[in-house]
Amino acid sequence: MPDPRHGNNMEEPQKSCLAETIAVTRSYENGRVRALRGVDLRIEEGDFVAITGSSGSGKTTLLQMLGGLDTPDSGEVMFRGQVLSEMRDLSSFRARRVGFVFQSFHLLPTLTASENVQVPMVESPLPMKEREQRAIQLLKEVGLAERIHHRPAELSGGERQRVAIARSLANEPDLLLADEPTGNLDRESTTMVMELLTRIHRENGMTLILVTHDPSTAAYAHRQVRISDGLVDRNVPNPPGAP
Amino acid sequence: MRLWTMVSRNLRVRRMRTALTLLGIAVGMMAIVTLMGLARGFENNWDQTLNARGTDVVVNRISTGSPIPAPFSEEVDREISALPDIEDSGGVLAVLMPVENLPMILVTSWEWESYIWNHLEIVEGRMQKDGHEKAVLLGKSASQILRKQVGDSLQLLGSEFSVCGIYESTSMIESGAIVIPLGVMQSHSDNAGKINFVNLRFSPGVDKARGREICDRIEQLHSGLSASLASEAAQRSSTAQGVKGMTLAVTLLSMVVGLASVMNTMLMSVFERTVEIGVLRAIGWKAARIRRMILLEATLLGISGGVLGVLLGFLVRELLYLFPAISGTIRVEIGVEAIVFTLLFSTVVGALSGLYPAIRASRMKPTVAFRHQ
Repeated sequence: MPDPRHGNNMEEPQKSCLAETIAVTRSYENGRVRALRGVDLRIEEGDFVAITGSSGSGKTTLLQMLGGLDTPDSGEVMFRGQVLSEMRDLSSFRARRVGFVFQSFHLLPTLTASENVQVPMVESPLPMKEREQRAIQLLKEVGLAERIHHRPAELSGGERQRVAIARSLANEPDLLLADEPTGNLDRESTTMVMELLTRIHRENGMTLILVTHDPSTAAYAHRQVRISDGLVDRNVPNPPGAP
Repeated sequence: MRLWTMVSRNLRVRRMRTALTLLGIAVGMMAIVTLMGLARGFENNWDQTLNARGTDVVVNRISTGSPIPAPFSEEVDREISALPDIEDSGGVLAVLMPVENLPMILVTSWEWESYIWNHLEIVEGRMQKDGHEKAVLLGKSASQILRKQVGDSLQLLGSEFSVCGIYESTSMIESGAIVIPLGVMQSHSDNAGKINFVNLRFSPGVDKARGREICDRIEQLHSGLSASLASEAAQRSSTAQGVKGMTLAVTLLSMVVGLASVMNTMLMSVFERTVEIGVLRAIGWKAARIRRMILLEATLLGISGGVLGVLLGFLVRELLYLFPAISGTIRVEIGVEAIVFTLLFSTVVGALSGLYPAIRASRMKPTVAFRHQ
């Protein structure tokens, strides 16, 4: 029986491209810091990719480019064949197509878990009742049925990250981007969060890209892309069975 | 979860700062609503006074900013009273002055045997015997404030007067005043032959249009004098104009203080929430929604400050009324128009203050915001 984590088996039909960067460059501080120096990367529908690299290698910048948070100095970022920089409204793109999970969770401290999950849905046409129901459903799916009305300060780090994951799924995105999602978590919470992300990817078929410098976290992905000094240094499938 | 939920919680979570900002706005709004109430109270009081006397026209010098107009010759009274359709007239010389323990009280003197005396209802004692008697009539409030009864003596205009009677008047201004005959006032205040008001009563059948013609005629005959129908006299009086001028000044000052205060609070709030705003932008919130959120917060501060200011205005009024010297002579009539104006004004000030912080917040790039942490 084939490993379900290795979807792009040679015997299966070629998957279509979801996101792609073509010769993307990005520098900061008037060109003194060159974060990306011509990155070519293709992400296919249903991929689970870990972007690794040392601190300052450009991996977070690359993730931000793919999520439409930043635009390249040169080169193109494409999403389903559409050039992001040519899109009229990147906010709508981010709201509908992309889910973000951050290292520091970035939940709104004044809102409950359920309300935090509803925040991205504010831009959606869903009626309020349905938004509430969806938020509760998502929190149940991430194992937080008992924490719906808790505020972030009343939750553990792992629980906060699970709320953030539920929030990222609120608008049923095509692409889930996680920037060091386990960077602030202990070992137990790390395992729980990574298993949750893996399950979401497996059950929903959602494309998942995570940035991490932790090899054990990267091992959950199907493919590892290593960034070094602003360039793709290595782009290889993970061995089956890891971690 | 509505946008409103986030807005109200953002303000509640920083309680002390929100409270101090509200206080800053509220004090300004309190001053506005109280001054407007004071102006309205004065106008109504003045209306009551003229109505009680049965006066149709008031003539005085054109305002020079002093609450009591400057004196002019009483010959003017005689000339005006000779005009057609004038049934009766009375010269008045009124001053605001400290009397015994009171820092300020209205001392008014009326032409002896003029119609103005007729409306007084003596409730204790008697009227002055003639236009030369060195005796005073005290309004009921004035007698309470001064703690004087019939038969007591009163130091006034540098000499001793006796209290011959106490009267009641429907006019609060008169109830808090001291009344003496015009001749006595003129001789004791270096104002021989001078008055500062003429009260006129029309002959029966004179309508408003004709009344205006008479006023115009008086002003033509005596340049530098203003003749106002009783219904308009209060608004044109120098006191009402003075209070209105003060209200305008306080309104402008409150606007500046309110703008600075709310803008400072909102800029601090935006700065503190840089990452939070960046996250909202990252997860798809449009710039317009961020702007709306910040503007709503600023507007809510403005409205709340306005409501608090109006409530404080009522509180200040009640505190002022605890002082007999004030409660007997001044009314602060906070009308619906003053409340509506204050609330609208504070709302606009709040919204305007939020504009710049809102624009700043909405222009924030998520990637720049994340570097802020």
